[in-house]
Formats: sequence, structure tokens, C-alpha cells
Amino acid sequence: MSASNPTPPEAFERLCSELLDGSIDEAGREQLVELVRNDAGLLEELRNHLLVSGTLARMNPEFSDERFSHSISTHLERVGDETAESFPSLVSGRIRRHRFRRRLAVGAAAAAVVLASAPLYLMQRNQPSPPEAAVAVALHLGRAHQPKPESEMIEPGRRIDLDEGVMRLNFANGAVVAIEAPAAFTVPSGEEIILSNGNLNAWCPESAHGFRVKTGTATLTDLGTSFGVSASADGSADFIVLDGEVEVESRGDKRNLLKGSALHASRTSELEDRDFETSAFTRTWPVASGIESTTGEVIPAPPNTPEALAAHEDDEHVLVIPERRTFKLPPKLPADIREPGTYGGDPPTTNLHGPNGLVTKGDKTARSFLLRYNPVGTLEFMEFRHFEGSVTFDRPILAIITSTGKLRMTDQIATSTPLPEPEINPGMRGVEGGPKTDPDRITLSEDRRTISVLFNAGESVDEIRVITEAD
Amino acid sequence: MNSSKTKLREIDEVVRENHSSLRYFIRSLGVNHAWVDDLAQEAFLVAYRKWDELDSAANAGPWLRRIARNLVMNEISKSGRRQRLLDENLTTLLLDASPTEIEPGSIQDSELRHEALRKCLQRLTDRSRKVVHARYFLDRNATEIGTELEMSAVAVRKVLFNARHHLAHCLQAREVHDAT
Repeated sequence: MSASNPTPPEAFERLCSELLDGSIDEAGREQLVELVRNDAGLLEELRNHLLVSGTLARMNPEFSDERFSHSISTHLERVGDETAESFPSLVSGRIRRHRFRRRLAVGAAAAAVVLASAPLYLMQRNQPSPPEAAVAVALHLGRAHQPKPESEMIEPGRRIDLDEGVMRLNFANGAVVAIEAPAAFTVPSGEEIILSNGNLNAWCPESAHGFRVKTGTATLTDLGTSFGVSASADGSADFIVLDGEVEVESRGDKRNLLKGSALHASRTSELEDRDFETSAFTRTWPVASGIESTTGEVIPAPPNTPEALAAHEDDEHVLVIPERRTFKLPPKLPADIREPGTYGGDPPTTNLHGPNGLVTKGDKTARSFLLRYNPVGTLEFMEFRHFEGSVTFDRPILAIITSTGKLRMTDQIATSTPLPEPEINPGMRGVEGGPKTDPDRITLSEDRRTISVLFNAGESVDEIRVITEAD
Repeated sequence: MNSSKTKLREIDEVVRENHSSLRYFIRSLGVNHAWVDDLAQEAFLVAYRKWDELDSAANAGPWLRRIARNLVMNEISKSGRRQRLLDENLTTLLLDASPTEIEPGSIQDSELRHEALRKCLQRLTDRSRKVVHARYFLDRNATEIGTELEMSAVAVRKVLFNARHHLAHCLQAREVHDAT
């Protein structure tokens, strides 16, 4: 490429621009042809503009090299025994149909990006503001050499080879995606991820409906949901839906998938139903759900549907269970702990329970998590088990609910799936401060993002509800 | 004659090595960017059917560009040429002036080219980047961009022209730099 004419004449500038914009008229075409016919430098300048615009267009996923390479290889493989006439019509027809759908999607997506840019700034207010071109903020978690997570801005077209930890991407439209290493993926726009290989979980609010995850063999389109995608380098992919609904399309085969369902896509067969298996998403689902890390015997609940999570039992751990992702706070939310500090313990510092309702103007939203010890069996009377650990969320904690009555009062707004009533001591869901039992202890960190617990669990369920800021 | 599977395996390799530069070449001939991929696919299809005429896979690049040139020339004589070509007369001039061989120092690897482009994009002003983003990533025309950014369509085209001009120079400088 060369650019021998640093100051092209004004007429050429206007006509070249109109040509590439598709707005040139016949007189303009003739004038442009005459200009470049008589000036080799201008012809080269025109070629430069064509090449740059073509290269810029290549960074759009519709025309990306990766997509093209995959499609041409697939088509050539298919036409091995076909006649010379059948292939071009097949290829052209498919591309035209795909472009039509793409144009529709781009129009809607562009509006969503503009309208939803505010949450990105609000969500990352402790971090540098993204430049105009950024479509997401990435946070890299769990790297051995990096004690504190690092964030970076993601601009369209960015390809990432993730070799360690988990990366969380907060998109401008509100979508949250967590990807576990090893993985390779591209972020072509604020509405899409191309996953070459690796596991990801995503959650999409209403503003991000239509968000897509493309793999070598199929495309998932969000219809309002939480889902997981596991892609292999050979192009095959597994899709699961944890909540809501998605659409999966592979070579013209289109399926709608509801929560608790799974599909498998490959190069060699049509979409296949699979058992709902979530173990591939054990690390990504908590991160996408807002759980940044846990320690000790406090662990994230295994990925599953809200109904399955409500019924989940575990003898060995206190589980952190995501509840409603966003709900409107009432003017006064019953709560027990509002401020950083240590509550309960032996000897007791500050009471675990207190009249510390969360008062707002009724115009704020929040998110809810449950920390729950729910054993498979039943312990003997006055037999206790000791659990200690902590959980760090990706946003500040507003309030903690520790008493049974307040847990019940907030069930309706904080969870979409009621938890089963405990068979033993149904009136004792919360934590206890003694004196008949070893006291439980809760510490809320100064930055309000980490809660440390010491549960001395007896024959009943022990649980607390944690209310954090919303998206 | 190779077996069908062997032939597919060989051409698959050629596709991987050459598709990026071939599409780049086709665009340089004034093909509407929405049709570049179609013509590249046709070129690979022709190559597939004439596979036995290729003496060595190492020579596939120039051979594919000759095939693509012929396909583009054929477009000039078609009645629907305006759809695939920006302008048939301009394409004729670009064809006459285009080398089949790759220019020394030019970036052929698509990843490297994209990386170079990303770096060059960083050197544009915020406003230029915003306009480029709207045009090439959101697929909007000058009028739509102007409405959103409170600019006239003429001003948007001017910003785009200058951005492409600067990007071309920046890429050229990087090619020269990387080649030496």
C-alpha cells in the first residue's frame, strides 16, 4: 500500500467519500473516473481508501476472517460431489439471508448500546471511565501472580486468549459474561462474543436481549436469560440454559431452549438434545452471578436452575446462592446489619440481630444472595458442626438479614423461587447468638464487599440473606 | 487426480493461508465490500474445480489472484455489475494498475493487519474514532451518523475521508517498519 498524494484535491475527496458512502450520482462517477484516469497518484489514493475501508469492515464479525475461513471450508467440503451450478446459488442465498438478519440486528443493537451506556459508567465508578469506543469492561480474576483483580477496557474487534483465571466482562448494554481459561474469544461488538474455545456463562438483562454467542457450529441468541456455552476447538459446542430462554441456530436448524435444557452442536450432525450437565460452569457461573471469590467452607452453590438451587442440600459447606438479580427496594427493608464490623461471636461483640432496616426513597434496586447451610440429613439434638469462611461480592453490601422473621418477610421480594420450609425447627432459619448454642459470628468488611461467617450449625437450617447493590 | 478427500484437505490449507490476502486484493479492485466474500468464494470454487492446474500449493497465492482478477473482469460485462462493483469504469482502471504479485513489505497476515489497524486507530482523534466506529462497526451511513452526532453528512464524509487517509499512511508506515 502506498499513499503518494498527501493532499488530494477537494473534488476527489468529496467524490471518493460519496462513492464509498454509496451516495455518488452518475455525474459524480464520471468526474471521479476522469480524475483518477489522469492521475496515477489519485488512483492509488482511491485504492488506499478501498483497502482501509475493507480492512475496517473485516473487523466487523459479519465479514471477519475467522467466519469466512470457516464458511468457505465448510462449503467446499459440501460441494465435492455437486454440479458446478449448484454451489454459487447455495452460497449466495445463505449469505444474503444472513446479511438481512444481520442488518435487522445491527439496527436494534446500535440503539441498545447508546441507550444503555450509562449503567457501564455507574457500575465501574471506581475504575477509569471507558473511552467512547469501548463496549465492555473486563476484570481478570484468579491469576496467581496478581493478588488484586485488574480491569481493562474492551474495544470492538478485540481478540483475547485467556490462559489463566476467569475474566468477567461487563458490557455497556448490561450483559455480564464470565469466561474461564483456557479460552480464546473475540468481542466483535457490544452485542456479541465469538467463542473459539472455552467455557462461558452469561446473564443478560432486558437491555441486552438479543445478545449473541457464536461458536464454530452454532449461534446462541439470548431471549432474556442466564445461560452457559462450552465450545471446543473442533467447532462443537454445548449450550445450557439456567434461567429464561435462548435460541440456538446451527446451519438452518433453529431451536428454542428453556431453562433446565441443553443442546449439543457439531459439524457432523444436527442439533442434539443433551442431559442438563452444569459441571463445566462451576467457576464461571458464580462470577457471572456476582460472586467474586469465596474462602474456607463457604462456597458458591453449583450452577443450576433457581428451583434446583432452592432444594439443594450439602453437608459440608455453607452455600452462596444467588437469588433475585434485580428487585425494587421497598421504602424500608427489614434488616439486621447495616454497618461494617463484627457481630455475634464469643464473647459477643455486637448483637447479630437488630432493628437496622434499610431505608430508601423506594426508588432503588438491589440484588439478593442467600448464605445457607442445609444438610442432607439431620444432626442429633445438641450436635453442632462448625463452618467458617467468607464470600466477596462484586459490589457493596447494603444490608444483611440474620433473623428468621426478617428472612420470611423478605422472601417474597428477594427470591423468585421460595425455599422449601425446613422439616426440623421451621421457625429457626436464621443464625443464633446463644446462649443455648455456640454463637454464630458475622463480619462485614470495611469495603462492604466481603462477609465472613462462623456458623455453628445444629439440627436446623442456618441461613442469612445478603442484600447488595444492583447492576 | 487426487482423491476427493486429499483434494479437500489441500484446498482447505490453501484457503486458510490465502483467504485474507485474496479478499484484500479483491477489495482493492473496487468491489463493493458486501460482495468481496462472494467473489472470494467463487474464486476458491474455481480453484477447487481447476485444482489439477496448480503445479504447487506454494504458488497458490498468485494463481488465486489471477482467478479473482478474471472474475472481477467478468463482473464488468454483467448487467448487474453495479451491485457488486462500486463502479465498473473505476474497476477497469484499478485492474489495469493492479499488480498480481504482493507488494514487498505489505502485511499479509490478517491478525497482524488488524493489530496494526488497531494501533493506528488509537492515533485518530476521539471524534474520528467515533465516526469510524459508527460507519464500520455499526454499519451506519453518513446521514445517520450526522443525525446522531449533530454533524452534516458532508462533514461526516470529510471526517471519514481524513481518517482513512491517515490510517492508510499509518498502515503503510507500519508495513515499512515491520518489513525492515
